[in-house]
Amino acid sequence: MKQTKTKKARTSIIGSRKKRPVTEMNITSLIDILTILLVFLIKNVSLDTTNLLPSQKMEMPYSIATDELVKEGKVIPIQIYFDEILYGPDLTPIGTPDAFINDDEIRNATLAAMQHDTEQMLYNNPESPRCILIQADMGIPCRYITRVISVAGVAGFNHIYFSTLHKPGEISELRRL
Amino acid sequence: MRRISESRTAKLSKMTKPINLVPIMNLFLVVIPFLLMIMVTAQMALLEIQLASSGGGDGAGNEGEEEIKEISVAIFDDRLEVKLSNQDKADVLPVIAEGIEDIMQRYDFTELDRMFQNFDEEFPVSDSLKQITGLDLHEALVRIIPSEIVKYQALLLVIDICKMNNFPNIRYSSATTKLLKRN
Repeated sequence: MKQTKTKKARTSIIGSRKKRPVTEMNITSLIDILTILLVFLIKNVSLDTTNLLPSQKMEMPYSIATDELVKEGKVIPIQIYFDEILYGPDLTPIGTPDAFINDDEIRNATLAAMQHDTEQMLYNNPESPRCILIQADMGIPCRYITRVISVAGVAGFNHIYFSTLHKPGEISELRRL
Repeated sequence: MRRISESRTAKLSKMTKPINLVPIMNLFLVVIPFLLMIMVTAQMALLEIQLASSGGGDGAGNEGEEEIKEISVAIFDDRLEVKLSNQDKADVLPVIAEGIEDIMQRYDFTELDRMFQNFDEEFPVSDSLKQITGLDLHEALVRIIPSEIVKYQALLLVIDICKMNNFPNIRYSSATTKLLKRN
C-alpha cells in the first residue's frame, strides 16, 4: 500500500511538472542591445588600425598634438623595440636596433624591402603618398630613429609619421607655471 | 466549411510562430567578444615630420633682419638649444635636474613652450609685410636636431610643443648631418 502511495505521489509530481507551461525567455531586448553594440563596434574597429597597433611590451610615448593620416595611400609600419625591429604590414623581424645600425647587410636588406614597398606604391598609384609609420618605445635613443628615418628617406618614403598615445591632459601640466 | 476554418487556423498558427533568435544570439556571442578584443581602447595620435632636404634651402636671413626662415631646436642630453635663423647665438635651456629619467621633469619644456608662444610677440610680422613678402612666422621651418643619446620621448615632446604652437613645418635633422653640412 505504501509503495502504491509513493508511486502515486511521484506520478502526481511528475505530472504537475509536465503540465507546467514552458515560459520562453524574452530575448528581444537583449538582441536589441547587442545589435546596437555590434554596430558601434563595427563602426569603431577598422582592420587597418589593428595592423598599426604595437604590442603590449612597447611603452608608447605620448603627445598632445595630433596630425591626420593622409587619406589615400598605404601606410607601412615599422616598430622599434629595445631588442628588435619589426617592419612591414606582416611585421617581419629585421634584427636588433644595434644590428640595424652596425650591420650593413641588415640595413641593406631593410632598404631593399622598403624600396620594394615604395615601388609597389608608385606602381599602384604614382601620385599616392608613401607613408611610413614609426612606432618606437619611449626610451629608445634617437640614433636608432635617425637611422630608420634616413633609410626610409632613401627608400622613397615621403611622409614620416610618429605614432604616439594621445594625452590632451598633458598640456595643462606643461603650461601650469 | 470545416476545411476552410482548419486552413485558416493553420495559417494563423504559422503567422504567430515566433522567430527563432537563438542562431542570431549565437552569432552575436561570437562576433562581439572578437570585436571587443580587437577594439582600440587607447587613443592613438600621429605626428608628421618632413625629411631633411638633400640640397640647398638653408640660406637663412638674407632678405631682411626680421625675417625668420628657420628655427632650429637642438636636443642634447643636458640642454635644449633654440636658434633663430636671423640670430647668431642660440638660446640655451639647461636641464632642470640631471639624472632624472622622467623626460617631462628633466628638460625645461615649459620654457621652450613659452619661447614658442612669445615668438609672435618678439618678432611681429605686420600684415602689410606679410602681404609683400608672403612671410608668416608660422610658416617658418622648425628644424629639430636630436643628439644620438637623447630619448625618443624628448624628441616627440619637442615636436609636440612646435605643433601646439602652430608651427606645422617640422623637419628632422640628425646631429651628424648638421655637423657634416657645417664642415
